[in-house]
Amino acid sequence: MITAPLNILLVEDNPDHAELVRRHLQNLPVTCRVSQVEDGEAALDFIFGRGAAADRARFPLPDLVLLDLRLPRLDGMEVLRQIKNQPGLRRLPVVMLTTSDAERDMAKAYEFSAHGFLTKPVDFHRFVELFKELGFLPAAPTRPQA
Amino acid sequence: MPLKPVGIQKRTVTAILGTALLAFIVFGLGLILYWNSLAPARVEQFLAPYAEMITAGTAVDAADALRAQAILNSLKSNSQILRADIILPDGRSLASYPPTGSPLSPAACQRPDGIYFVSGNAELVQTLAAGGTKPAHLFIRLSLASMHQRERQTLAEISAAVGVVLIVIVLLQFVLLQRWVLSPLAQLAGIAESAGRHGDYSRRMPAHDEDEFGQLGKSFNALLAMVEQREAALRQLTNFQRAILSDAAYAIISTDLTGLITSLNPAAEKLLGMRAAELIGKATPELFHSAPEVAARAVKLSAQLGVAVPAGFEAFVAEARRGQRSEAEWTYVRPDGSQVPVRLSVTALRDERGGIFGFLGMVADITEHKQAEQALREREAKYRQLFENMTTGFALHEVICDEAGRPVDYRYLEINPAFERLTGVVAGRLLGRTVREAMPGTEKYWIETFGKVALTGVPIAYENYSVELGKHFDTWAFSPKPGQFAVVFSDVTVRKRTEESLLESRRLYAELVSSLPLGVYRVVKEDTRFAFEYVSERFCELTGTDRAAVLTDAAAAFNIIHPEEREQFERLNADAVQQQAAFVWEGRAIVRGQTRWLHIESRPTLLPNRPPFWTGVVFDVSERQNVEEALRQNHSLLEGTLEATADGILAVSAAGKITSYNRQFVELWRVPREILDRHDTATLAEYILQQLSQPAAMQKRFRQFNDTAKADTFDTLEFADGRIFERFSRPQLVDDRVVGRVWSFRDVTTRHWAVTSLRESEHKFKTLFETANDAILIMNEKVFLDCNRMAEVIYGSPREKILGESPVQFSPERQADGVLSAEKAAEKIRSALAGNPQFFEWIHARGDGTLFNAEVSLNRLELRGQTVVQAIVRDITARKQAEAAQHEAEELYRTLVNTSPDGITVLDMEGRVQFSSPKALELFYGTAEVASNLGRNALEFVSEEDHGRAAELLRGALAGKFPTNQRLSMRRADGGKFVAELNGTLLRDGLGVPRGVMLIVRDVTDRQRQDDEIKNKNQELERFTYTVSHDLKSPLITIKGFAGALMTDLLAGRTNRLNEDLKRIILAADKMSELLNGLLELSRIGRIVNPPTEVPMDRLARDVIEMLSGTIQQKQARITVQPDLPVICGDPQRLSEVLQNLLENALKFSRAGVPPEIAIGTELICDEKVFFVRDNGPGIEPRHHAAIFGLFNKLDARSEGTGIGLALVQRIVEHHGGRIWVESQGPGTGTTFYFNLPFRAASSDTKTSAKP
Repeated sequence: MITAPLNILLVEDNPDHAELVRRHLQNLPVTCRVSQVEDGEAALDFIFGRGAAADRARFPLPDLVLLDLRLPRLDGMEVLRQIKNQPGLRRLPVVMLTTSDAERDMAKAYEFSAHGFLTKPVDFHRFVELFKELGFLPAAPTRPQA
Repeated sequence: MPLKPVGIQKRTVTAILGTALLAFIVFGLGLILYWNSLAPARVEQFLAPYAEMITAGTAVDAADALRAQAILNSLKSNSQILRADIILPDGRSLASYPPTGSPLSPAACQRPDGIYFVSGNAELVQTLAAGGTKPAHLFIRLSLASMHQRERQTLAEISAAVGVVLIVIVLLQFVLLQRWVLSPLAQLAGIAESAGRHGDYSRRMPAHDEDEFGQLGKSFNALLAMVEQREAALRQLTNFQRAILSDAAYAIISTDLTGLITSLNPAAEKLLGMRAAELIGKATPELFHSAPEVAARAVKLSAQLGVAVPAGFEAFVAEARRGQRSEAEWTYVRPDGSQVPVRLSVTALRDERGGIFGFLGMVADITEHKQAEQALREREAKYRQLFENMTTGFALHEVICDEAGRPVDYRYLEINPAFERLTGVVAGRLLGRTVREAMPGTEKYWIETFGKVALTGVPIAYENYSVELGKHFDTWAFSPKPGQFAVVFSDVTVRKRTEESLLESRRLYAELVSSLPLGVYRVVKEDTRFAFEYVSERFCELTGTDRAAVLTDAAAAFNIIHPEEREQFERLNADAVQQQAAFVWEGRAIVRGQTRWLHIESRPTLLPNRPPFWTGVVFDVSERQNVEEALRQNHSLLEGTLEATADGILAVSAAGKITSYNRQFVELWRVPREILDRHDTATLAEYILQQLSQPAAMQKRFRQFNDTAKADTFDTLEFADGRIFERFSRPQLVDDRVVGRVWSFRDVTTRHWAVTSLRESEHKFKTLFETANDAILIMNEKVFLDCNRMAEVIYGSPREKILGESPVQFSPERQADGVLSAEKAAEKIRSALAGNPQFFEWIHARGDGTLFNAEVSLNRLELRGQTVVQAIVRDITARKQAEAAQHEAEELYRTLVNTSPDGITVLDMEGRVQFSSPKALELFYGTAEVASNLGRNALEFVSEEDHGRAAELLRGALAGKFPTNQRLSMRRADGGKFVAELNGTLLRDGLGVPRGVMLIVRDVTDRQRQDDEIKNKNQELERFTYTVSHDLKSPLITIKGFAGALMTDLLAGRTNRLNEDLKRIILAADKMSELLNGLLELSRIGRIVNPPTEVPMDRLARDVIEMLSGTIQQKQARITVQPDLPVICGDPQRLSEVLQNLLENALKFSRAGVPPEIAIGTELICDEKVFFVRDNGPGIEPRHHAAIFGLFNKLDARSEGTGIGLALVQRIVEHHGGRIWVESQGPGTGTTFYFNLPFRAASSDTKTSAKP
């Protein structure tokens, strides 16, 4: 179990959806420090450590990026592509948040090697599974949560 | 003599020394023992005097102690005496010496008398005689030490002496032993060793003495001598053996019991091709044997010996093992694979006990032997063959004699097949039997004769005739070996017969000669003179000579030759003789005064060793000569005739030889001289035939003539070069017998061709006439003279009915133009006859009265000298019909083309317009009244953008491939464009050759537009659906998510967020509702209920402003509306919504702190009035300009509104045929929305004025 708090970047423009994600993250056995941005440009700024998020001390490189597909200013797919084009950021786990009937989006996301996707509204279980997959949680079974 | 007998000497020495020592010791011991045994005696002896002395001295009465003492003291002189005591019977010591000695123990004297040795002393106890009851005892203790010492000394001396003596003896013994025993032994040993170890048997023992050694020496010598001898013998034997082994030609191989090779001589090495080292101890003979052979032999041996002999070494030695002779032939295989035939004999090697310890094999290379065998076999075979196949009979016999040695019988030993054949007697019957047994009838004479031959060896030869067999035999008997005779005979029956027949022939010959009318003679040239060896009677008759005279002198015959001819005769004669060739002469001779013609002919016979002689005949040929003369005359006549004639003549004999020809023949046939000279019909024939155009056929005909030899023949010959000959031939008969044939040839080329060509043209004409597809009739001025088959068909009447009739008979009264047929016909015919060819149509009537259209052509013709008219009549009814049908079709086609709603164009193979239907012209020119667009390239009518594709399609069409319903953008003459759907077909002419393309052009502009619109609508629908699903999904997610969160919280008992969450859910639901409403509204645009009316835009603007007055006021916005806004034809409500939305947006999105200033008006953009709504808001970045019209797109997600406003506006504007776009530089520059509404009402034009 990772003791240091996880830095999670949440890229979501809908405040309600963002709130839902936050709540789930709070319930995880891992301490998560969630930073939220609401558009693609800001997301890239945060990840690349430029623009408004240039201060790496305050805005460290996140351990995980939860990326909504439909964003203003820069589309989620585009954000993903730009992240993955950076050799240094290839390892950065990026998980897409998407509505369920976006099969096309899924294929594309995998094409751009996102680590996975979560369908909104996200089930808590899925978060747990995801975190286990990403190694943020130990693989030992945790108590099942409703 | 080297002394080296180490062991024995030592032993001897040891023995002697030992013995000496032992003796010494024994002696010593004995001495000691003896001494010791004598010790008491000695002591006694020693003491006795003293004792006696004492005794004597003490005739005691026992009380004289002083005397006793004095006596005892006298013992002082002997230092050895230690003590002496006289003990009284009561035990008191009478006296003791030394006087001061210790008392003696009483026990000491209580011992019986004697000498006792106690503790190295001798103690004497003696009873002193005393007169008394109890004797006194004398006790003397004698120290033996000195005695001992003395004794020891003595002993030592003695010992020493003895030792010395012993040593001397030993030495002496030793020396003696050495001399007598050891030395000889050593010698013996030495000799033995040298013999044994070094093989030196030369040394001998000196053996002079007669003692044992001497004997031993002698024996040993003898032994050595024997050994030496044996050795020598053995060596010799070994050398002998080695010589045998090494140099033997035989290979000798020895093995042990198991077969392992133990030795191998060089010959074996050579034979086997292996070295001894390789084989000895390493292999068994099986190594170089052929395994199959070994196996076979094993099997054979097994059968032979009755025991199972395994295939292996045992096969070699099985017999030898059993003491049997073992000799067999084998094949050895060398390491290089070559094989050697060998004979191997194996013997068992036995030791003295007779046990086998090994085997010895002797191998001889029998290659040569085998070869000799083979040669012998071959010779045998040859002999056999000869014997069997020779044609002379052969029989070998053995003579059987009686006791006196006279031959009485003989036995058949060998008989060959020829014998059997010649005598007819089967060999089986004779062989092994005697002649008296087999052929008892044989005369004694023969037995004796043959017997003589066999015994004396003198051969005999004779001829005899066998009556039974009917044959003559030539026999020869000889003796190949004493006691045997062989008979060789051949069948000479044939020869005999030949001889007889020869004699017979001779006889016949003589008869013949005498009966022939010929004179026969034989003459020989001896040196220079001729001599007749024989002349027949007839000869003399014919020559008028006397036989005897002629035989004596040849000149008698020669003289008859006519003087004029003599020279030639003699010359010929000489030539014949010289060349030894035949002689032939015919000439005059004077016979009995008359001149006669004689023919003399002779042939030489050349025999070796004899001068040649000529055998000849003479006959009178006078008659013949006369005949010949007559003949010659005839001949010359003939020749003259032949040469005089103009025809070429050739005479060929029945045999096929050319007998005669004339000059003309040669010239006609152009035969070269050499061929004629050859007189070879075959060559000539070939030459002739070659020139013909059909040599094969001619050849056949020639052959036919041979069969019909008696017939006259007439023929025409065609030459390859075009010449024509007439040929006539006739057999040459002599008395009705065909002796040959005479041919005559005449060149008729020119005449022939003339005739031929005439005939040909006639023939051609005839053919044409008959086979023409048209009716051909020949007529004079009036009637038909001739007609062909087709005429019959056309006129439907048989020939007979046509000929002699006028054409008018086959025509209706009047022609199509109303003129009388008769008149018209006559006119036409006349014209034709005058030399003007006529060609016209005519209505004919058939035989049955039916009319038909005909095409008639009249020509004048010279036919067989007559001037006639040739009429060719063709029934054109069918054609006429076809023409009518075609005309109809054309009409139909033209109607179709002109009335089709689609344009029809025909292009030629270059793509140029050949024809355009009116509709096509309309399409391309706007009107059908176009002068001509012929020759224009079709591509000219295609818009630039589709030029490429059009060209390709055209190419495809010209190739016959045109895909259906191709749409191209076409260009009208006035520049306008339209979309056309094209279908094309390749047009071919009657022969199937492509001659152009027909295109059907349909204006599908509207449809295209419709299609495009449908496509657009579909795309929009797709987008719409996608967008809706997404944008509606968002609030749903919120609802579902928070519902879940609520549930979780409730389950956990948390209520702090309940309110908030519920609010979110409700808001989200509201959002969804809003969205759906907006959608509904948007969809309504597609179903506008309001029909388009005139909408004055300025009034509309004012209305909208009023509607939004509240917000305007609130925002403190200032709105400006341009006057003279045009009147638009459209839906007022929708247009109102447009303005409303735009205004609302402008009001909503204002810069913070800056009161909005909004302008509404029109601008002239590209000659078009375009509406605008301008604000001074924050502006929209150019990259969002397109997006903002998207459904549900909101630049600012949090802002109010559904985000469908602009989409709606766009929809409405587009529905009105316009376009909306936005212009804004970006932040802080304000935004302007432009849109155009093209459907302006008519009245608008008057009102509006151009805006700058």
